[in-house]
Amino acid sequence: MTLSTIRNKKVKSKKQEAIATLCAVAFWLFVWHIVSVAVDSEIVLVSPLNVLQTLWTVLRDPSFLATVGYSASRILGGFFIAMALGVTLAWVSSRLWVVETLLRPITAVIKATPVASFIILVLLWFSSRNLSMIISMLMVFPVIYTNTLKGIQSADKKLLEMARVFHMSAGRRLLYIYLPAVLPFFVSACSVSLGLCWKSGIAAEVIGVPGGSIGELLYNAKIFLQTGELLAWTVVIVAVSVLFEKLFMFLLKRFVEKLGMGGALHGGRA
Amino acid sequence: MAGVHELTVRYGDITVLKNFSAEFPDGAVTAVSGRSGCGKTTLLAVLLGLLRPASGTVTGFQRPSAAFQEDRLLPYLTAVKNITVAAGCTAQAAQDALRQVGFDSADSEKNAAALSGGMARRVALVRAMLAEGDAVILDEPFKGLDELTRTAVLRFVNENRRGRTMVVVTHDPRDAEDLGATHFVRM
Repeated sequence: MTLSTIRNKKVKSKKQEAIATLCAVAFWLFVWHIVSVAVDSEIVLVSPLNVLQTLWTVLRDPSFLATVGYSASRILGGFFIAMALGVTLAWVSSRLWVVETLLRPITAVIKATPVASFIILVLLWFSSRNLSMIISMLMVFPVIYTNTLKGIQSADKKLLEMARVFHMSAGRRLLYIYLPAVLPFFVSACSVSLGLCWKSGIAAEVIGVPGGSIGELLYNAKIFLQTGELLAWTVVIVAVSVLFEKLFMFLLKRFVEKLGMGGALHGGRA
Repeated sequence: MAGVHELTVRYGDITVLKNFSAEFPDGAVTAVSGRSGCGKTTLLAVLLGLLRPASGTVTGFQRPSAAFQEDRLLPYLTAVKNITVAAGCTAQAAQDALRQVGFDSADSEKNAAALSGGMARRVALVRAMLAEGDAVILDEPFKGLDELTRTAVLRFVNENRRGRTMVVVTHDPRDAEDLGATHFVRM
């Protein structure tokens, strides 16, 4: 079998996989529709067609962008603060074991504590306006911190010795040795965190109910038993979350390639 | 005269070198040999400043460059960039040097991760020879090179020694002879 035949087979199987996934989604939408018809209650189980209609109404609402912007700015703000803090503290921890030891119980506690406990605590200390930012930051920080630290610690010791012998500058060590070691850990941490920050941030908004947020609308949907609204906004959250993750990953990859370290993302053959 | 005096090196409870002394005359080639596990690589690590001895002194070797036993190339950089980044020379100098050891221009632009073992060895040797410094330390420099390539690399190493002190660890007496070793350290 030639290499091109194998490649074609791979492409074909990927295409087939995509079609199979679409079929699976269509199947479950169909099941959802049938069950909703059988239940015959828009409150208990709204039909997918109704969700689609409500989604269209939500999208055409003049305040749609302002609502998404309110939540997105705070949730993503929390993500970026956590990213900056996580990377910086991971670097400091890799140099100073005292800092690593001090941060170990903190990250363990944050990871183990239910997000609802943090939401209530933060509501006691701060106003609900920035609640989702603080919560998303708290949830993302340990993921970014621990992964970045693992990446730094996995840097090839023999390459670091080589750099020492050849008196390579700190900048070059960072770019050519630490960055390739950290990247796989950092990319997977960001991928996990981007989903996590939306889930925790919206949960915080539903509990704190800051005015003008997506969480407030979800809360109202629950109070007024508007299942269609609830699911339509859920679709919006998932879409915005996925879109931002794709955009962030794309920009991150472009940035790494611009630094000439694209090989670190493509298994060494840039 | 560069050298080590009464050197003792330990890894935990294991003593690898005990009261070991040797001299490496300035500007000369010294061949270091000995059975496997006798501490040759440990000695080189001490000379390179990578390992602190439990006791003893090291003189000379202010700024040595090295070709390690493993090639230790930056996998995501090209052969040329591996040399320029570490040795601090120009890309042109690196390309010229690589050509002398049998690289064509396409091979020079390949990432280190895509190079064969013999090619990676040559890049490591070129990097060590082009770097500035007062000494060059080569650990089994011709390991894995075929005869034709070895001849080209040998010529390159001899032409680029620039009167520096050289320490070569080798199991092959021919390496020592071809590199013009005048001093021998048996461990």
